[in-house]
Amino acid sequence: MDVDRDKDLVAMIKAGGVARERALSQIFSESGVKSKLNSMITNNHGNSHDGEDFYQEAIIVMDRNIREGNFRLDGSLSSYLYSIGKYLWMNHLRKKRLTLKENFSDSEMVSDAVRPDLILIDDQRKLQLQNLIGRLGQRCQNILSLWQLSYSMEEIAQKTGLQDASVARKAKYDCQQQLIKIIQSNPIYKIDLT
Amino acid sequence: MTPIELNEPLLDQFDLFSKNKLSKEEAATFKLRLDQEPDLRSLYDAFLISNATIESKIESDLRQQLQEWKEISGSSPTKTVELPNRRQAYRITWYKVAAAASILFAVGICYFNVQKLNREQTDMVENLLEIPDNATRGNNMDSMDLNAIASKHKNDPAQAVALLKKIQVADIQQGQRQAYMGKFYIRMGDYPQAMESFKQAKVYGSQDGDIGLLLTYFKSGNSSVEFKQLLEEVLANPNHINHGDAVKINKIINGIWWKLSK
Repeated sequence: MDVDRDKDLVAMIKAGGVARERALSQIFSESGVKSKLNSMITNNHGNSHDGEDFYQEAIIVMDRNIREGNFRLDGSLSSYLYSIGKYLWMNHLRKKRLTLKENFSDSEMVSDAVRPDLILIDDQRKLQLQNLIGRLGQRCQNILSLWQLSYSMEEIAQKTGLQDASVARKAKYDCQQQLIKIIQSNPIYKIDLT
Repeated sequence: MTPIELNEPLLDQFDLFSKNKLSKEEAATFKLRLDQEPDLRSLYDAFLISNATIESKIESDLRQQLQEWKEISGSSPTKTVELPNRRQAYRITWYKVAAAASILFAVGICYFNVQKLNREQTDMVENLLEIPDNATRGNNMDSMDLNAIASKHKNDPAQAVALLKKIQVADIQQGQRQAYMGKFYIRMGDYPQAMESFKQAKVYGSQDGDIGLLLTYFKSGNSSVEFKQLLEEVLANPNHINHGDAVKINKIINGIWWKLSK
């Protein structure tokens, strides 16, 4: 991945919608980082299944960091992706009281602001959040996801079978209100998620 | 005190504040309100939690998508398939086999026809979207550059779009630039951007705008009113440079296999 290409991929992820899907598909299919991460993991107490799983998790974290603006393209996107995967694996080992046989080189270091261990949602929180959104209807879930992913109201209308953009906009507000009301009426969910 | 109404403007304000998109003054005023009004703070906290829940769904959707891509790419872990026990296997009678074969045959014919037509559709669309090697050179420097970029990066659409955006061209070449960008956006699967580019190409008077828009609608499976209107416009004008292509598209979308394959 060269610099211009990386910039385009980042821009496509930020733009959301179909462009994001294309960029993620392109990144996913490039085997360089995948095999490097796989080899690091298999040399450090893991197997090739772990390599696959942690490559996917790294892409998920990278996508989120880019969309939320917690990413600045200082090095290459592939080294960034690799660093995330390595951090994730290191945390996984830490939980098992194991350590990496190798340290991070300077070029692999990423700033604290983008460290996945600082932004990853733990399993318990994930369950609580999924329980919350599961209380909405499927259409509302889809509308809100598409909106969060920067799809235009026209695209949301098209994808969810709504009449037009203005109907989609109204539906998005209704769904958002429903979700907030669910959260407010369930004090158990007022946990420290923010 | 009147309870705060969770209306659209307030949700918009929450959204802008959470994304740091308010001006400094607006953000300071809003923050002061949050500090002074516990009800508003409570609503805002719920809003942030709602965003986190949506994010958790996005994360889970992406995980599923990545898994699908992994399976498509053939690197999925081997799945264990349970074999039927021998007694059950022998209970399959000849007429069941005959019925299954007939169904498979019928399905096979349908599948073959759909595949065949899909290949024809694909070939036709790909021909229209083709960017020639050693691109046909224009009469001036600008179009030479545009064609050279398009030709050189024909297999790397993201790179081609980035360069086409950067290059300085005369007004007369803007249409051509937009039409090229449209073609590359189609290759990237970014149909909204492709439409935007082809619409711009039309604004700059490029004749490729209409066919580009038709192909975008066609490729994205969008059979909207706009698509049909534009197709009818081009069909109604035998002098249009892309009249023949529009006839082919029309033939395909009126065919049974187009409907079946959608």
